[in-house]
Amino acid sequence: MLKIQNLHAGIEGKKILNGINLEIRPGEVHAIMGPNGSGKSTLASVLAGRKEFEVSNGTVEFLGKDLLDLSPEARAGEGLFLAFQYPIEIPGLSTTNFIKTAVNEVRKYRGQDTLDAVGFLKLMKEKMALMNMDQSLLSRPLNEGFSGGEKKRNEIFQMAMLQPKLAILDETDSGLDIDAIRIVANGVNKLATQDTAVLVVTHYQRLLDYIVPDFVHVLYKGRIVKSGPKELALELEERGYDFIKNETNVTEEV
Amino acid sequence: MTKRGICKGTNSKISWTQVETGSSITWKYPSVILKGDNSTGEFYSVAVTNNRQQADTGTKMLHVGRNTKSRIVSKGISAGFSNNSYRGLVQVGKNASNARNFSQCDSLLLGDKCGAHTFPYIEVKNSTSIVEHEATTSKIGEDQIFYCNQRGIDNETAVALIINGFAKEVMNQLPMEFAVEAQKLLAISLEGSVG
Amino acid sequence: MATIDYLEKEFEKLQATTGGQLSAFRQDAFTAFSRLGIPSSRNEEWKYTRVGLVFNKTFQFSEDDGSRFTAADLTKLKLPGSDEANEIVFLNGRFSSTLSTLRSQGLTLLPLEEAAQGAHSEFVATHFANSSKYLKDGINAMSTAFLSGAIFLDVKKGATIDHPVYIYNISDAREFNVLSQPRSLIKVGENAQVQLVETFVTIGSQESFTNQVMEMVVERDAITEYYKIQNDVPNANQVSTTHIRQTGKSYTHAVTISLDGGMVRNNLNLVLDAPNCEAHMYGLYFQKGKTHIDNHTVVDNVQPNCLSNELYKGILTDSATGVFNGKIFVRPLAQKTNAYQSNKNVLLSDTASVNTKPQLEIYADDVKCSHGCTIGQLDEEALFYLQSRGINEKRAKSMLLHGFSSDILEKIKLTPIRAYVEGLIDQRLEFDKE
Repeated sequence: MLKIQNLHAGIEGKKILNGINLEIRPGEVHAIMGPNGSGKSTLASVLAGRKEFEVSNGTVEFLGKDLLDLSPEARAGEGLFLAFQYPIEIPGLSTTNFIKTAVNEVRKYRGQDTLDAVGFLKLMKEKMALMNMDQSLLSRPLNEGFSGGEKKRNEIFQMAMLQPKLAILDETDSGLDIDAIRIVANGVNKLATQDTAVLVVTHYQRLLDYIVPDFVHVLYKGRIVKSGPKELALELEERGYDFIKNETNVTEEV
Repeated sequence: MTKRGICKGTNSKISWTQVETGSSITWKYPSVILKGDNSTGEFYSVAVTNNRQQADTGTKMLHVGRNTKSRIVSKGISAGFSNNSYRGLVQVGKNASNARNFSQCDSLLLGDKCGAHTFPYIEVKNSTSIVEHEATTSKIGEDQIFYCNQRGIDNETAVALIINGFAKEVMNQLPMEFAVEAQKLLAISLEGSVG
Repeated sequence: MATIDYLEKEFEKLQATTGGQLSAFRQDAFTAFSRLGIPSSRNEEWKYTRVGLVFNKTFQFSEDDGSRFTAADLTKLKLPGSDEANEIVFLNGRFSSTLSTLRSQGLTLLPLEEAAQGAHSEFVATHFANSSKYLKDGINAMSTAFLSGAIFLDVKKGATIDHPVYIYNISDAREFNVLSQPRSLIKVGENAQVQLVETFVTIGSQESFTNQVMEMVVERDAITEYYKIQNDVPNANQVSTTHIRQTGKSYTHAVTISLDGGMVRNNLNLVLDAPNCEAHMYGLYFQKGKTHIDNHTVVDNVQPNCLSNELYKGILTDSATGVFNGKIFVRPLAQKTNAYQSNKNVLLSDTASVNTKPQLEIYADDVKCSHGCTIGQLDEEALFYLQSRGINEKRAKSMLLHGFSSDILEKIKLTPIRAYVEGLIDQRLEFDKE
């Protein structure tokens, strides 16, 4: 589904990603972990098409297409969804109106009929129940005055509404207490099917208790330095990222 | 330009609604004197400035009678190199017991070369009155547009959504045919300002 | 002021008998205290709360070797849910290890002197007396000058503390007017989660003056809930100062409930010292008789993209007085700050009064701030509406007041504590019904 080969990227001349290789197949859950500044969020941003980041080398193939060639909105149309680490506030734009516009733009892109008010409402009710979303939140301006937890829940709600093929969760767990993590993870798990995949970007292991990954990758200095099964996350939590740093120093010296 | 209305009788009401997308320099301050008991004054305004326009709008609500109520909703949208100011005076006189005022001044900046300024003046001489003021200033920048893009919405649609949402409270006060016109005006006067 | 002379002698005694790492702090603070004294009403920060009046009486520190106030006495004062909670007890301002119990993994509790020497020495050196500005404020200087029996609490990195931490500040005023100065330094480590509940109890018929200072540091990705429950007796006076410094993107949720006491002054100071911090501050004060409640809050936005949200509500009856002073600073770096503040008051009698002063100082240009305050009576129309549906006036009033308080009460996420506070408020509303 997603095939990243030798991806190099940076911002304002500073290199952050130094040759990422990663393949994600339908039905899989991958987790990317790593210390601060290792490039986790940059990877997510590059995949979603944030302009500030320049790709200097490498290819990314998404469902057979050259992802890097597509505009951000076309990537969304193709089925790539990014749950932002810091969801953006847009004053004056009601959450419902925003989501309705997004759903219909994406449907147009996919050659589906746009939803009328009744059809949209029906879909929204269904997904609201899934996420325990509060109706009042949806009539407020997008993310404005939302608490951190409400913003994160709203991200996953949008994911449910847009039905992406690949969902990238960028530190969706930060700022959430245990109860909120459970709700968010539960939502993500219910949306997972044989044809969809999830890429979880996180600093801590806690979220992975609830969204269980098939593979864990450790990102360090812009490269994936270690990959393994879900137990790798536990090991990282216990031993801290220093052991990765030490291990990689060793390999660099050899 | 100055307009003034006076609510003389009891239970009378004046409501101003204005949409400014206009000239290079604008000054506009309609005011309301709430003299009759239980009278109500309202002021709804949207002012849009683009390029190098300057707009200075505002209102005066003078509470004289008892149980008088006023509500001010001012929305300023600035783009380009323009400046948009709101100046408002809420005055509660000695005999205006139980007067109530709610003022809300919101400014939306498109890009970082424009400015918005609010100057609320509140003078209260009666202890039973309630005066509330809320002001916000927010900027629309690339972050917001990218967020919309990521959800499948292109630049133009995103800007239109944001502007209409921001001005909705005031637009809702206009008769339908004016509202449609005003919305078009907003779109035209802001064409090409973001993205 | 007799107490001041007494304090000078006590200070000499204390410095002579206690040495250690922290005695330099005590010396500096005492010099500052001698210069600043107890703040008078000429001090803008203390304009409406004349703390000096309390000091016209004589207060003394009290030593208790455990023979007077016992575990049995403590049992009578406990908050609901304490069987499961971690309990930290300050008796007359000094930490009592015999009365305290830790039940959860992930907590380390040490006398501050000990923490200043061991593995936490660097943290203590950086953060002790850092937020509290003890050289500028006489009341804070007094706390630091007489530092004794203070604690350090560490919430371990990554730990989710399964039971809340209850902190009891007990003053035993059975024999004389007692001066208590509980002091704590708390570290909530990276990615840790903890709930703290603090309460104040005075026993005996003499007066108490509690000058409490807590400094809390919340690290990256940590989640902290802090509840302050004040329901002491009318002969209890206190200045309760809580400094919270968020040094990494983190979440703080603070609720202050003040229902009774003599003169109560709360300082809640938050420093949002990292991008993307979030802080929620709620308060409810419901005062009767001649009590005085003063809530001073400061939110200092130092870094960008932070959210703070503040709602304080007050009900004042009889001759009670209330003060609310909410400051929000937005520093030049702190772009994209969202800061909301609201203070709402209901006065139920002509002799109750409230002074409210919201204050915004904004030095950045891309921010969203709002503040509002209201002072009013119960809504006559709403009251009439309820009465017209057959509800008698007193019942209708208590229903409206219940509604007024409910949006603060629901911010108490700990069920036993919320039920306890709701019970206290219901009781008072019942009483009003008679």
